[in-house]
Amino acid sequence: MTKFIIKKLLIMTLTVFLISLAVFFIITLPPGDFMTNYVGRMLAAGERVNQEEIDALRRTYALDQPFFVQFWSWFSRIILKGDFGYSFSLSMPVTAVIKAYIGPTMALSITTMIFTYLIAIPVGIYSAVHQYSFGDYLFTTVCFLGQAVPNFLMAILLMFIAFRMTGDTMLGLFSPKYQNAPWSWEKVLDLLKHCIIPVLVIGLNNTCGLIRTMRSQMLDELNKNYVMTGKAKGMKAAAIRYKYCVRAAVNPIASSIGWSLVNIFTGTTITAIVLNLPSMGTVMYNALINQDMYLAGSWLFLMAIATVIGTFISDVLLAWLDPRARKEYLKG
Amino acid sequence: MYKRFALLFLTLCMVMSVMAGAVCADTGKEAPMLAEQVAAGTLPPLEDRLPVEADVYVETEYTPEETPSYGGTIRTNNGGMWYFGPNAEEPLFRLLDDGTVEQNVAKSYDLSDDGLVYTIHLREGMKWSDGTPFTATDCVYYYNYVLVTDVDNETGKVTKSNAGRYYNWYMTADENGVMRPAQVRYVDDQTFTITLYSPKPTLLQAIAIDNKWMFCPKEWYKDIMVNDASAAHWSGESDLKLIGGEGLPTITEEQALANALAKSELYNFENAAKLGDQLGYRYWQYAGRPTLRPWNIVSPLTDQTLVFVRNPYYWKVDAEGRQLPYIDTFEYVSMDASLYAQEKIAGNLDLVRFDAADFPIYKSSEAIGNYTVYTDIIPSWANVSFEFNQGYKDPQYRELFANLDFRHAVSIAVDREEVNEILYNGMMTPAQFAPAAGTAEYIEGGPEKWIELNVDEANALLDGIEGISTERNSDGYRTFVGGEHDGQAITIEFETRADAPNDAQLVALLAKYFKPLGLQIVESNNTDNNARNEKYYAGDVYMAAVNSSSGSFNVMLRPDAVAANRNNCAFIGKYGLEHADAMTPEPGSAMEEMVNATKALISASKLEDMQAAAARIVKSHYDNTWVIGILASNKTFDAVANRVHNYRDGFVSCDELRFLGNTRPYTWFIQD
Repeated sequence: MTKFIIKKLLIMTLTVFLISLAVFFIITLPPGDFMTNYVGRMLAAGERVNQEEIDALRRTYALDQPFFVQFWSWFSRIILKGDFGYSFSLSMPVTAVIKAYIGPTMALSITTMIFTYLIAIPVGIYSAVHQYSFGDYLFTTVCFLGQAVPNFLMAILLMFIAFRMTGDTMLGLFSPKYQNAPWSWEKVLDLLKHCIIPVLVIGLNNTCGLIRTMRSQMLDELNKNYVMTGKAKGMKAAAIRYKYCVRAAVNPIASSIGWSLVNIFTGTTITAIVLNLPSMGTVMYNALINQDMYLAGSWLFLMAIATVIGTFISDVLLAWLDPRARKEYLKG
Repeated sequence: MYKRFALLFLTLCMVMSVMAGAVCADTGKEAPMLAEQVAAGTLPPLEDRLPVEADVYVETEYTPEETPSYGGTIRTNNGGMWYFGPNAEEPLFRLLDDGTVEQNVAKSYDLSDDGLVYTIHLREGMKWSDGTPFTATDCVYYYNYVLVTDVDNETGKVTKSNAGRYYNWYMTADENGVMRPAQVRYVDDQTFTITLYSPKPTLLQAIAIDNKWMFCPKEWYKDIMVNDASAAHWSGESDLKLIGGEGLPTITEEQALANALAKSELYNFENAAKLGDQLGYRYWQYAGRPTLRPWNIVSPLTDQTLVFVRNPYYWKVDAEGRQLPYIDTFEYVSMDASLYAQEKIAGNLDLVRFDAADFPIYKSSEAIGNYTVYTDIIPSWANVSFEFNQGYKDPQYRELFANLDFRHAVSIAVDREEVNEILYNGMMTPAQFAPAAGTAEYIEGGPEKWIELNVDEANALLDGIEGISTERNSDGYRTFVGGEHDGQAITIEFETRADAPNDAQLVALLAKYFKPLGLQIVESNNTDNNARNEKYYAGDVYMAAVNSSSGSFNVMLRPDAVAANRNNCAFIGKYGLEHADAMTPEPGSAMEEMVNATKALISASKLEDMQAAAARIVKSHYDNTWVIGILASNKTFDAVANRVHNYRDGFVSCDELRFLGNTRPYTWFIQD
């Protein structure tokens, strides 16, 4: 197992380096650079600027350097100093931007993730055990609807319903009244109210997929011979289900937990924009639009790391949950 | 017994009412939130915070007719630093709608008889928002150490400063014709002088437009501004003589950055140039930086809602002597532009600005959202237009674009009514690119010139142009005759932006209108403004543009968008004087007149010469239709919550007048 983990870690390091090279290349692909954008905005605001000044600014930001020089200066600073560089558009270190947004993003994502698993696994089990019952059909219908309706549309629908019912669209995480108020019981209640739509919207889509996976996996397991053997040996149905079937059926879900890690860091960008949530996703989106390359680059870099770590966690989880997988890994 | 009780009760009532009256009398002149701090002993009393009585700025014209109440919060969208900045801006001199200036931070000024020395008088007892005195030192320090840090003695050229570009407004020609920077000198705490090499009658306007905040808190700033004692300053004068008071400490770049960070973790900058640019120039985004503004930011820039809270030391009062502003707080909420309307209608935003395309949705929801739609005037020459690059690198196309008959032909081939209906719900008016009626620079017939649709006449005009065919090729297009492009179809590429959907739709319509003329139109789609601007800076690589020029508030004061000085004006191309390798127009050409008029305006030292040069620029546009206007609206709109009072309908909104700042938001008040 140790050998397996070391091997995985080495591959991870190489993957992260290659991904970071690729993301840096991609963000420098569009025509122009941050300075073009910056100067464009300055001109739109009625400021004056001439080519000499633009060139001087480019030198200041090292935008006149070749690609690999720019990449290496950025990448080496991250590795050696933990310095992600400066955000051009916000005029502050990228780490400060991340620090400002990581809290709300993670709080929202983790709440949503817990919501997702708390609902998906029991409902999946229920649907499998009570196959073709009224409840199963009901959940199936909801699931198909949840998967078919795009997140942002669902968000708009729920906002409309909220507006008709309460006179407020429930945008953001707080009402204007509580936005800057000190923490109080009312503010917590207000936050919870505002969390309903984001959690439902972001959670529902994932939940529906997970319910379907859980249901089909459970059905597969319930029809396997070991279940029949267990029954023949006089084991209780519930014990077979929860000790053996669920453990086996939950494998694909465990292997997908790793992927959720990326979502935890990014939030769901489009939904976050529609619901005006202070998530890292929206910051990333603006960084890409503004060609704020160190912010965007750091962002994609973090996502790459999250994906790689997520995959690693999934592999380890799977090896731990499933003796067969463990055996395969050890062989490999 | 009852009598004694009644007597006691009455006495108590009287005492309480007198006390209440006293409290009212005290607090009536300032916001309750400040009165509380005064009562708690954490803030000096009002009279100690305002300038001396004779020097207090009294806002008479904009004092509301109703009795205003203090307090409340205005919540609006965060449109970026140039949206929330101008709303609370306090310039040395304020530009007015008619192009004149009035005193603002400055109390008054005198001009010497030779027109070379401006003596600026400040307000005694005026204070920064942290309570430190505001004096002439702050103005002189800013000019000599922040605006310009190094100037070449021989050439007068600015060699090192991010903010240096603003310096050129202080340049005047010396006896040898060399442009030299003004000298700004301390006289006493309330007085400083600006000395020019030759008269510049619009200096105060130039300051009001382009260097609105030529002051900064020296005491707060001196430790974070790089000041290298070994570098010879341009005048060789000592700090003491330059700025008055104590000399300046020597500060290296590392020290400056460390000192800034020690003040606040928000001041974490990559280098000193960025620090100077952000805390010296774009300072209103940084909490803790003292200002003279009515409200100051208290949140980090990364917050989703930026909060601006009243300045306790604000130096203006209304006609009744009440300290301004009336409103306690401004909140600017970051959100996607697609959410503005729904948030406005839901009542979560007090103010949203929008243009003609969104008028139906906002206007129809006024009652539900409990707000009023106000109309603002934009002093633009056209809102929808197209233009050809007169400096395009290909000589055959350049010659075609320079031909007046060509521009006449394409102008009358456009169905302006149709464009209006299809793209703008019929909310605009067909118009040529020209100053609108009612403005000072209006030329009679300007907006109506060549706007009548007449395809036959357009074709006849093109038939008369040498060097292009009257016949069409197999695809139905005219071709070039002779030259490098002999026999090739005339194909004109228009630059559009992906983030401005109307650009592409307009080009599609132009292609439809120009097909009967035998001109092929193609679109060159840029991902955004950046990509398009990149081509503008290059100067000669693009052929034509849509929706690029919008006109000028006042050509004499702000020639940039319509004259031949900038390096990014679409029709000017490489004739722009600020291009590193600017092209010289052909002698006797119409473009030569435009370039000469621009030069005359820039170098003029008499008001009448400047007016004459500006008039030549306007005339050149009238004669040559450099930019072909399609539609004009001259309007933008604000949806303002009904609880906001003393808002002004029909104000002039433009950069020079600081957009919403022109309504003087410090005189708005909230009454639920």
